[in-house]
Amino acid sequence: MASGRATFVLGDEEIDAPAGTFVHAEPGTKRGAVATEPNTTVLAIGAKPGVPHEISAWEEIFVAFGHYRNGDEEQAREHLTAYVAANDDAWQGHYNLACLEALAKNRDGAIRELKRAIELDPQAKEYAAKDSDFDWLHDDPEFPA
Amino acid sequence: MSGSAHISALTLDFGQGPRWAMVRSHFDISSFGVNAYTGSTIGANVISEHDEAGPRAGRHEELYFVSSGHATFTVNGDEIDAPYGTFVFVRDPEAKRKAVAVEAGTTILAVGAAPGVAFEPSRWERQAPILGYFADQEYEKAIAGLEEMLAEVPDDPTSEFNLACAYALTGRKQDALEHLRRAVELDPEFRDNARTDSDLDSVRDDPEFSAITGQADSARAGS
Repeated sequence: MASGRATFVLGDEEIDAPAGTFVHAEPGTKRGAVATEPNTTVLAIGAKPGVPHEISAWEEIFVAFGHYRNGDEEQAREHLTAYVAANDDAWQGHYNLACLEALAKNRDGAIRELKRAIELDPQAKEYAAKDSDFDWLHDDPEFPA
Repeated sequence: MSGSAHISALTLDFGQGPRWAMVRSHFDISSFGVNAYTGSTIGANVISEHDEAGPRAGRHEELYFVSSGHATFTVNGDEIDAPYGTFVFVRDPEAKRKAVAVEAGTTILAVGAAPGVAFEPSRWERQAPILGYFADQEYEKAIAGLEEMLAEVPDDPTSEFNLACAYALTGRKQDALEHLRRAVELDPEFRDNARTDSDLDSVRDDPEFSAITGQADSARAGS
């Protein structure tokens, strides 16, 4: 906790975390934090034990959706397309590109990318079935989830 | 195991140098190095000058975060004003870096790992639990722990040096000098540490101490 105060949830445990608190979460532990003071800052550091660190896919994906939220759909698409081109066998990239295309109401692009994501990892189908980004596509006969 | 702790519960005071919160070893984090250092007074060293290239260093990329107070960093001779909230990143393992408190109670979080390889805790930091005995002035326990470490990993210069300190603090001068000599034989950089470490004050006036040590000031602190 870099500043302010938060309540962390770590598995079933609730932790009051004023500034100066360290919270350590193992991979299988669900974690989240809610500010209990304004302008609370949490510094997050992470890596996987036993292997060289690789930059997480979600970082690039977060940047892309940041652009989308700022109204720059093209920048968002550029980021995600570049990520997918460099990581064609990572389902997360295709899945998130599918989300972006769905939000942009680009049916063909959304279905194409979602199919590829499911091909790479069937759990993408379960995520897509519950993901509101795809709500308007659920009744489409070609929608794969 | 997942868990939490406040920095105040993790911080050890060695009576000299910055107070050290042993974050990595407390949580047994095995994928990156992370420690926090606090300088209690204005002008105190918070991050002692070091690089990440020596035989005891892990060639870590290091990220520092000023989590309270205000510090001045010096990286390869360049001064960086670093108030609370500042990140300082040092990629080059050869770069000399240090930080001094501009405000009392300045805390810096240091995070590091070497790129492209699986993380291993720095050799110096594996002794963190034993160093806790120094902070509690339980020197006999420190000696027992260090002797045990040396039996497992012989010829480790850090263990030899710390054992020299523990023996010096208990007044066993000959044992202290013997282990100091061995530490310096294994890693001549320990000459510099010996000259500035007050744990060795009881043997400092011994002619053998002068024969073992050289000159210059240096210490280490890292992720």
